[in-house]
Amino acid sequence: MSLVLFGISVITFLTMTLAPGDPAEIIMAGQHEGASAEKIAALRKELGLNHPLPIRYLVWLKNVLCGDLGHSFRTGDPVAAEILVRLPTTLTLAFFTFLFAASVSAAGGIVSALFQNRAPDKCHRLWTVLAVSIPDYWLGLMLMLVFSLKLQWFPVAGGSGLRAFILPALTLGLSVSAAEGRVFRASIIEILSQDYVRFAYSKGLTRTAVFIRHVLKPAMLPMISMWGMLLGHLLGGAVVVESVFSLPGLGKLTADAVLNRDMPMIQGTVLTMTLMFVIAGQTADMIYDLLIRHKDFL
Amino acid sequence: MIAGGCLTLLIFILALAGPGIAPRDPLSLDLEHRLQKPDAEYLLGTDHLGRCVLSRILCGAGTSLLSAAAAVSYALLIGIPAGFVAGLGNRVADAVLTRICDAVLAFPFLILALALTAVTGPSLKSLILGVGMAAWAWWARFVRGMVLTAKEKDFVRQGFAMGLSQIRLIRRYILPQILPPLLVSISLSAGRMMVVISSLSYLGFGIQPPAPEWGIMLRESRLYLTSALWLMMAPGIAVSISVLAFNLLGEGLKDWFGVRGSG
Repeated sequence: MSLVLFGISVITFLTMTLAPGDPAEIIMAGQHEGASAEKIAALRKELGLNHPLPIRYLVWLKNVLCGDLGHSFRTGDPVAAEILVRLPTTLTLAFFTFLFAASVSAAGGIVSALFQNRAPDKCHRLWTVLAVSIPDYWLGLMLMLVFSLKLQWFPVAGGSGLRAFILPALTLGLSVSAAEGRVFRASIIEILSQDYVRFAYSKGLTRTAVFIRHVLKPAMLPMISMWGMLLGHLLGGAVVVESVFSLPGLGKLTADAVLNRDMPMIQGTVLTMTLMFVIAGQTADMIYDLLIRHKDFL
Repeated sequence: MIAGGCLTLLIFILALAGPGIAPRDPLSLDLEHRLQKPDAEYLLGTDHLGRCVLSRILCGAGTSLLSAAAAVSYALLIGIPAGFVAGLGNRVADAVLTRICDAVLAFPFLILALALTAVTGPSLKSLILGVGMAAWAWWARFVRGMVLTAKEKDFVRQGFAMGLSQIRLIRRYILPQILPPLLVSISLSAGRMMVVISSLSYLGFGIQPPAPEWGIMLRESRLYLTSALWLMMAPGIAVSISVLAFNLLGEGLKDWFGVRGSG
């Protein structure tokens, strides 16, 4: 775990440091007061760019651990503050996407597992292949066209309040729900063939009771770790979807930073999102362990 | 499987023949025929600069397919050898490679690809490099796992005991075991790469205008969302069908080889 964190910090630091272009020159070019060679040299010294790489890494790491992610090349504002402002938007989007994807995938998984290899199952499989084939950004544009421009149910872009999150969450959730649905189906089918399920039937329990108590509950376990992994997909997708819908979240911040080649901002958002992903994975593992050990759960 | 295979083949043929059968030059401007609806002359209409959409779609097919293929091969080129070294090599190599993979895989995929692309600035080349560099670790881990399972099989151990050379052991004993799941994953990942590359192009990080590429075409069409629907439909459907083809092919290969859950 600590090795992974170390690796993440090294990769993030190296990627951004080895990028061509002298940060001092980029900052100077952003300000319009004429960049002389002395000013650039002074700024290089101020930024600590004259030190060898390992020293720069340690200084950077110390600052990051203290919550200082540097200042944007573009605006000069602290990166950490900007990220904190944008974070709630992305978290709200992730929450709504989760709600949508979890309910759709649960329904799809259950129906297709109960009708294994029959028409509903085949439809579900086709639907999942189709759903992961449609690119997020195009789906987003289509939804925007139909529901915002033609029907005018939702704000076109931006907008405020929770309504602004519905279309982006649908867009982001479609492929996620398809992937989830397939895993859930496989998980249910595997458990249906277990001996203890047959035993539960032979005890005289009704179909519904067996299904809910003895099949659904254990089938949900693999979904927990799956959700931890899918947060990474979700954060990546947020870059695309937030840009399409002009949602001012972490994803849009990253996309704009890349377009502006604003290295400290990219570094900060990449680091934040990766940490979120790692924490989500760890939390999922922890919940999984807790449930497995809890004797009343299964 | 058959549907997916035929569709993939058809798309490849279209991509190869695209520049040849395109009715017009995909780059030639014709400002008198701006934003024309699809009709007999322009089968898919024209865009905001009067360029023929059908020609742009056909010529863009090559770019989209090639860049996805390049990104996948790039990832495979690093990932497969790394996986073999980790799976067959000594403990130190395995431990080091596994740690590196863990760190790379800790990043959300698209975010890492984006950051790596940002390093060299927006161009198709850096986009392919960035996506490939973000993807190799997944392949390395995937191949390593399969190699570890394969080398414990009795007939492989027997081959080893007979004193076969490492290369022969890999080629005749291990490779045939891991090839089917590998092919399934390559096909599925080609589809995913197409989505990723065209998404990043849509955001403006990849190939730059005026080159005909599907993601770029969609990026340019979003300003005409209400007035010129055809501009948005054609490239969107083209991307979706291509990705669908790869996914169907992957699903078909999965059933055919009897591979369970990979990719």
